[in-house]
Amino acid sequence: MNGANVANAANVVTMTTTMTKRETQKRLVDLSIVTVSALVMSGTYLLATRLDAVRLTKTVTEPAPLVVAAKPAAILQQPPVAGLIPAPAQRRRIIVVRRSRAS
Amino acid sequence: MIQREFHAMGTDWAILCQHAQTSALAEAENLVRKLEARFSRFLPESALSRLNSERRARDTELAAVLGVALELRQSTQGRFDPTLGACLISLGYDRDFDAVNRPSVDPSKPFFADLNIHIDGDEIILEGEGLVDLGGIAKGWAVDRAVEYLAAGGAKEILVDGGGDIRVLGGEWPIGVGDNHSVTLKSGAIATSSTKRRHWTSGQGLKLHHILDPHTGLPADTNVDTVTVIAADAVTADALATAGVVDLAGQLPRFLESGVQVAVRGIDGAWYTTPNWSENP
Repeated sequence: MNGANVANAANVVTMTTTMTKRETQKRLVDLSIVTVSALVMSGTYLLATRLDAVRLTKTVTEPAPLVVAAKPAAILQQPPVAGLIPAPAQRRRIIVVRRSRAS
Repeated sequence: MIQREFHAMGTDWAILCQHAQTSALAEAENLVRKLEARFSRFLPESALSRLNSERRARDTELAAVLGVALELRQSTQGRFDPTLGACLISLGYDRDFDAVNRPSVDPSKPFFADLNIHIDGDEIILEGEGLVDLGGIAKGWAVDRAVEYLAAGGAKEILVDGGGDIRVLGGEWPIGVGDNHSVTLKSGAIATSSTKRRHWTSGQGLKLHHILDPHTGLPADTNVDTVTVIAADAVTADALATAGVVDLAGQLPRFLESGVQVAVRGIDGAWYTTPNWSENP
């Protein structure tokens, strides 16, 4: 940047500044770096937030092995004996430790 | 949590608990094996085999388990019956199920013999030609004894699983029922009987299973193939599940009256429950 004191006809001194082409290019480069950095950081933040949300959802809902799958009960079929009701659908997925197998 | 797994009574066992030494679980396994050696009708030297051959015995624990079996026979109007050993043998189930082949039997004519069991203290006397079979109760009995043994030794949060006959004491145990259901037991027992297990084909090509209708001596002809019962102890759950397969319509009022929870799978594959069924009994 160059500056020069210029005396005009009214003896008023004014300061003028000019930028060289090189300096302008340097500033534009600086601005672009700042902008790109801001975009990258914002994107990273958004991605991290989204990953956190997904991980939280998985922790709550995703089953481990030996899961009892939630399946709607067959509600249209006739009970084999009066007095029975269709088995209620499992309300939540549960990891069972053992299974009451037939013997 | 410590765990021990083993094979006994023709099925897989698992014991899980807290606050117990590994040696205590080994002793519980040993207890189960001793009970198998006493109550198996496939071992010629077992207490049960000797009772069936000699027609009388003096045996405190055998008298106790037979006493419970007779009480359950009465409470199920005879649908659970420990006197069907001769029928099972005549239908080909005459050895450990792993070794049952395809015998040439005529299922239309099972050997159906009367048998009266008299118990006086520790003395047991058999009258009639039939044979005692503890198949529907011995496993549950062993499960209960194993839980009691561990609890007496100070173990906490106990689960004993004898091939699907499960009893828990303390803790919270999610137990699977069928493919799509579960219950979380804190105390009590759950057992399942099914015609889909231990079935074989006769020499005439007829499909047979091990749950006999005491009124006919033949494999139960039923419109449910699986019954699961939750009760206070494994012996009761085991016997009631068997009775439920044989005659669900007849047993259901008693189930409802006594408050046991029942889930059944119809032959259409759908599951049904008693109205008191809860995921947290």
